[in-house]
Amino acid sequence: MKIKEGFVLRKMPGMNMVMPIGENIKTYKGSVMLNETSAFIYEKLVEGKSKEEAAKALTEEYDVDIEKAMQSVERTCADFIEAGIAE
Amino acid sequence: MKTITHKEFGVLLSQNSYKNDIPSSGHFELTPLCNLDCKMCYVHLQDSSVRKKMLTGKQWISIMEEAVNHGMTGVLLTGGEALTHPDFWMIYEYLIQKGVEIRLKSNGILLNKENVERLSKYPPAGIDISLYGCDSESYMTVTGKDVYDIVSENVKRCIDTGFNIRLMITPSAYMMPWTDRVMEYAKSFGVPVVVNTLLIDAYEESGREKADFDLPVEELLRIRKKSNELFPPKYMPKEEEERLYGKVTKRPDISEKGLYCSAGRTCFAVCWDGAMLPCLSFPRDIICKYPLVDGFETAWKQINQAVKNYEVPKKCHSCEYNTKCHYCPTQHGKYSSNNQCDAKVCEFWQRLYDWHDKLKED
Ligand code: SF4
Ligand code: SF4
Ligand code: SF4
Repeated sequence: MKIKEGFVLRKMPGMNMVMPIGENIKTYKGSVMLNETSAFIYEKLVEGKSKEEAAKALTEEYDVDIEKAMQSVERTCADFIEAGIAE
Repeated sequence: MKTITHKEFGVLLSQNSYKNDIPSSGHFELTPLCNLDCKMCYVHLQDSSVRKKMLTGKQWISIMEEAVNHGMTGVLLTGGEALTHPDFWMIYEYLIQKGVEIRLKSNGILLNKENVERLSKYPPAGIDISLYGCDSESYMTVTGKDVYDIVSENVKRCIDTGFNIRLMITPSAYMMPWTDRVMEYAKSFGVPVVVNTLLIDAYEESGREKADFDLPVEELLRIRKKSNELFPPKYMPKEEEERLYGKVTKRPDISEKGLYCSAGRTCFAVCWDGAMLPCLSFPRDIICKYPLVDGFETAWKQINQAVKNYEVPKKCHSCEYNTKCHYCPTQHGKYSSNNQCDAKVCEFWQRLYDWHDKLKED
């Protein structure tokens, strides 16, 4: 599971967006809007962390147990794949 | 998480940026130099000392980098002729790699085969091409060069390449004998056309005076009516508008302080000499900051405060058109520094709104 090349996460107050960059702007139309948690997971995956590591990082950052964190990572990763930004 | 369309993204972005004072859109006047010499050009400077004061690609990128870090997601690259900036491609490719959406404004001369091929590798979100004539004679008169064939060929090339093209027309006294024909010529390309009716004050150093090429209100109104006939404005269906913007679409009532447009609220401009303004051509004596000197964040915050504190003219508060007309300091030019109206601009808008109302009744 990894984030595809050709995207960038833009974070700003009130909004987190994944947008295509470089040659990818020709093929990927649109943008993906992420909530705080998905943006956090996205960043961990971009850093090369595994799903398990991302879930662990979630528990350190937010008040959540590892089981819930793992569920959240699984759900978010499935969404990333469906949106075409991860494989 | 949700994937949204480009239009939805634009609406969300502007609402969120307005609420949080994010400079999401930057307009960059890369150079005041141009390969044409239009008689009514407000920006085109010729003095060779300009070259020394122009920002290098690296300087532009350092401003853009800070802007991206503060939330800039879209830019307009303009000039003069933006494509003549020696580091144009370095700037363009930097922005593409940052995921910034680019609109390019050009007079079309440099949209040749080589440059279009290069652009099509990383296509801009749109290109606004200015048209200054409908044949060799009109181009010669308005721009000082017969580039009619070149521009026509390049416009077609861009359309055939699949770029999102808009043709821009700015009528002036010099274009007057051909204005309608230029609009008809633009229509023949079958792409969106924008006709700007109000001209703005020229840069002092350009040695030009708006009075020399401005058109009488009567003619401005005639052009506006003709352009509405040729390019009927498209209104968004009500359901679509409500879906995108929510039910409350009424804009805020006129208040003691603050402008309502995007200038300095979600949008900023940086001129060729590094001056940051709320939007391009915004009167510098109201507010002007230098991000390369003060830092981007400080410059943006001061611009943002200045537009929030700007007091629209007293006259607007009692004007019966104030629910439709939004006071624009750029259009009112030198009058806006003293929070006053230019009577000619008011007359134009009032008569235009009367005409619109009459159209609705009919
Ligand atoms: S093409 Fe535009 S920038 Fe160049 S001289 Fe004409 S109006 Fe000015
Ligand atoms: S027409 Fe003039 S006075 Fe009336 S609202 Fe517009 S700018 Fe103000
Ligand atoms: S030109 Fe006028 S209305 Fe447009 S952004 Fe600038 S100040 Fe606002």
